[in-house]
Amino acid sequence: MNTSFADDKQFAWDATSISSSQRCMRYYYYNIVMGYQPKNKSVHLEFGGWFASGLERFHQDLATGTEYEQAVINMVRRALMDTWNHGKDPDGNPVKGTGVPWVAMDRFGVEEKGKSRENLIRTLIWYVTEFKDDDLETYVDSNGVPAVEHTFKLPVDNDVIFCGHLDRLAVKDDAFFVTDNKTTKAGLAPYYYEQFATDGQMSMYTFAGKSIFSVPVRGVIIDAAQIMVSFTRFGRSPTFRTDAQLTEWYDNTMYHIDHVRYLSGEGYFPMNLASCGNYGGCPFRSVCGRDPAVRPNVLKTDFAIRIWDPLVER
Amino acid sequence: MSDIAELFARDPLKLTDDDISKVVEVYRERRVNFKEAEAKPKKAKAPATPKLKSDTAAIVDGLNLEDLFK
Repeated sequence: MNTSFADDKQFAWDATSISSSQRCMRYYYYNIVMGYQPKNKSVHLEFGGWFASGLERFHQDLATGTEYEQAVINMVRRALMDTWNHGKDPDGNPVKGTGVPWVAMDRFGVEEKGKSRENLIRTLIWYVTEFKDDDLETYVDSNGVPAVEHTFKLPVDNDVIFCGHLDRLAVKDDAFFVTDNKTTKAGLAPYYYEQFATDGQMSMYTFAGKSIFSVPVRGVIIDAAQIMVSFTRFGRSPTFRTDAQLTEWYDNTMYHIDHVRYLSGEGYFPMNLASCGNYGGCPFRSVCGRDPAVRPNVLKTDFAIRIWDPLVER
Repeated sequence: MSDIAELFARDPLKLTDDDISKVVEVYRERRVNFKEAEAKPKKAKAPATPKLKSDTAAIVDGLNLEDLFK
């Protein structure tokens, strides 16, 4: 059951569900409303999530006084644990001596050599070495809690809740930025960072950072890691949001959510045929390309149900 | 199996902090090597002299200008 819905309409929205519905309403219906996902989990999402989790542990440890070398060891241990599928005891704890390591597979079941377990560990170690003398400091609130991997549920207008996770709120030269880690195969030239200038996730993070921490957040610093088979390169670039830009993003987003909720109420989820070829090809193209009568069978055969619920904490 | 491969193949619940330090050390060394390799100036290859394929070369060698204008 997806708790972010009431009366068949979504009320709790994160950046993923907003962008899904902006991409294509039929995609949103299959992916978010019905919860269909390709059977093989996206290696890119898994790798990116573990990378962020490892760094979360590292920044949390450093901000709470753990010595640097121990923080590195804790970070690597967490990543090694995340990528090993231990059997669980009745209390949900991993059982020593069970399980096997994760092997990265793309959605066609072919081994993905770039985003492998070993390369995840390499990327984490190289990242913390690259930014060892970092001039970005983790923001620590008045209660002494470091602003790392902060889950937010922010009520806004029309009974809508914005949800998400901020990797980190950091301070640089008295300016506040949310930081976000991205992993990619793409080169880290300026055009790579240009995609974030109008990215809704970055606008939402800036909006949420300002609202939650009551500090003048100027935007998001993107820490990008280019993951290749034999090396990882890093780059860092900010994407700024002015107050006027945030107001514009907020109005656009609320208008869009209102429209999606109306269509959901009507049970009408039109295809956006212009986006079928984006992002390396929509995973549901094999469904939409069939006669409507056989689509339910294709969904049952080729997809698994994994509910994406923005209200469930990672 | 190399030391590092053995550590990766081992249940992480059985790894000590010392084991993980070895992993960290290996990857730090690899990073240093990568950075050094990146910093080295790339060797430019001298442009190769174009060569005619052997059968073409034989035809050209056999050409006689007088034959061409007969």
